[in-house]
Amino acid sequence: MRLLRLTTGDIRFQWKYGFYILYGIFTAIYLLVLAAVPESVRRTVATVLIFTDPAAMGLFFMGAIILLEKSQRVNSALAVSPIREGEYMLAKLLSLALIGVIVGGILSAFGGIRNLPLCLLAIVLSSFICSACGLIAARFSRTLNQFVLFAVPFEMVLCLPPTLLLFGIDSPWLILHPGVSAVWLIYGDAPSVPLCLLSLVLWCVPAMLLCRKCIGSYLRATGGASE
Amino acid sequence: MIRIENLIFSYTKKPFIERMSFSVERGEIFGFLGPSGAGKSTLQKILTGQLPGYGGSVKVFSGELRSHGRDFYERIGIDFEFPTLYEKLTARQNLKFFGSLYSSPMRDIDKLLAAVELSQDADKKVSDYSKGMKSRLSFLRALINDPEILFLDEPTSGLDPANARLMKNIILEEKAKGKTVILTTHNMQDAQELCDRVAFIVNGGIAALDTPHNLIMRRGASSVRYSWLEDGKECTGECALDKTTDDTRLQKLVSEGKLLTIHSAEPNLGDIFMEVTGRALQ
Repeated sequence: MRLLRLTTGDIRFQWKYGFYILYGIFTAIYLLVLAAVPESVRRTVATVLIFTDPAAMGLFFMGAIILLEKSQRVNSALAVSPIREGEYMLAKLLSLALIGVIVGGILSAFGGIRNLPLCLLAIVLSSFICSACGLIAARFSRTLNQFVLFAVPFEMVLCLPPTLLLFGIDSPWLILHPGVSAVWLIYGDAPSVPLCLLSLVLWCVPAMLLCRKCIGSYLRATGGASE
Repeated sequence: MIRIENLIFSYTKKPFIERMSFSVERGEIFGFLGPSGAGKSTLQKILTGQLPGYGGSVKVFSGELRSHGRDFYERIGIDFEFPTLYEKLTARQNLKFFGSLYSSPMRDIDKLLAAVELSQDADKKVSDYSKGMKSRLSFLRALINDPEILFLDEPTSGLDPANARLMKNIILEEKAKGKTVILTTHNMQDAQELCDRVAFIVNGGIAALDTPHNLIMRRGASSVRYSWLEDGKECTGECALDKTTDDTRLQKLVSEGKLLTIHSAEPNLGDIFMEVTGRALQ
């Protein structure tokens, strides 16, 4: 129940800071892009848009969320409340995954994505990985510039291999990469759906465990309202 | 309620807190008094489980603090020196959210807001609040779970005298309910007025620990200062309160009705702090 209340609190926080309006505007722009491209490439474009934004938004927005919390010192109040590190992390991950699912769902419907449930599942799992990485980068950032700098290596690792697919560079081993597996699942031509899902889950677990560890030290460090 | 024995803590290789021992009883208001950088905040962080890497023993409630889980925070409330609130939420929404994080039922929000005279502004966004209003609301956040131990860091800082009075009254009400209050401050008036006992924290150690009354009495009797006119000029004299009968000049001035002013001058906690530590508080 506390996780639900924390998640609701994070959703309200994101709503108040205009994340939903921002993503409403982004979605409208993406829909215009999808409407403008030829039907033959629409599914590919939709896949790229879904993977690089709603699925990976945690990599870009987690910094803003954490720094906003720090600026209001609410992280200090949360650090001395009974919430667990895991609850704090999951609330952030679930709230951003919700935006990802809503935006991704709309883009999937208009982008000709064939398997909507599988696409949404891929969005949720990749969103968890990206948001966990974003949270790790945000934990060590004092400014937005620092966050952007710290997030770059995560972006490179998560987003570079999937872009190779666009240039026809392909290998069965790429299934081990979470980004590639997510793109295959979103597009709907995964060589093996169970293996792609397994790959995403296997990346999710260490990303979330590492993130939880970072959150633990972050909450301990900020429990004195000095940071 | 709190037992500390041979507490050692260090941020670097150099010890910051060395062999500190004291205890705080249930229902007591205990003050940490000291200048900035003396170790008060570090001590509060240790007592609230934020710095588990300490040496010695720190027992809060019954067990060793290191072994407490997150449920420890169900039983304590902490008010930081600076407001810790969601700026885009209203006062009511803030209290409701923070209260929802505890398993125990939250205190009546309307009653709490009324106690610090924020009822009229309960549905106003915190970003529209003044500094003093934010301080009062942050204080309520620490009370929302009805904690057994309340940690307060400079609770009256930045408040006007009327609002400072409101806060002090609430602190005394909490004490009357049997709550333990740990007050961290460098405001000696607050400490003298509220605390059952105070510890002077200087350079990571306790320079003195006693009731404010005993600490003040340690200095000895109060003095009497008086003035009179001589050749058109105002002159002043001083003697110990218990030696007024030995002061012949004073006796003469009284008998001749020539005293211009006379008043007692009791030492306060700030004077004692300065005497014990050689440093000023404010």
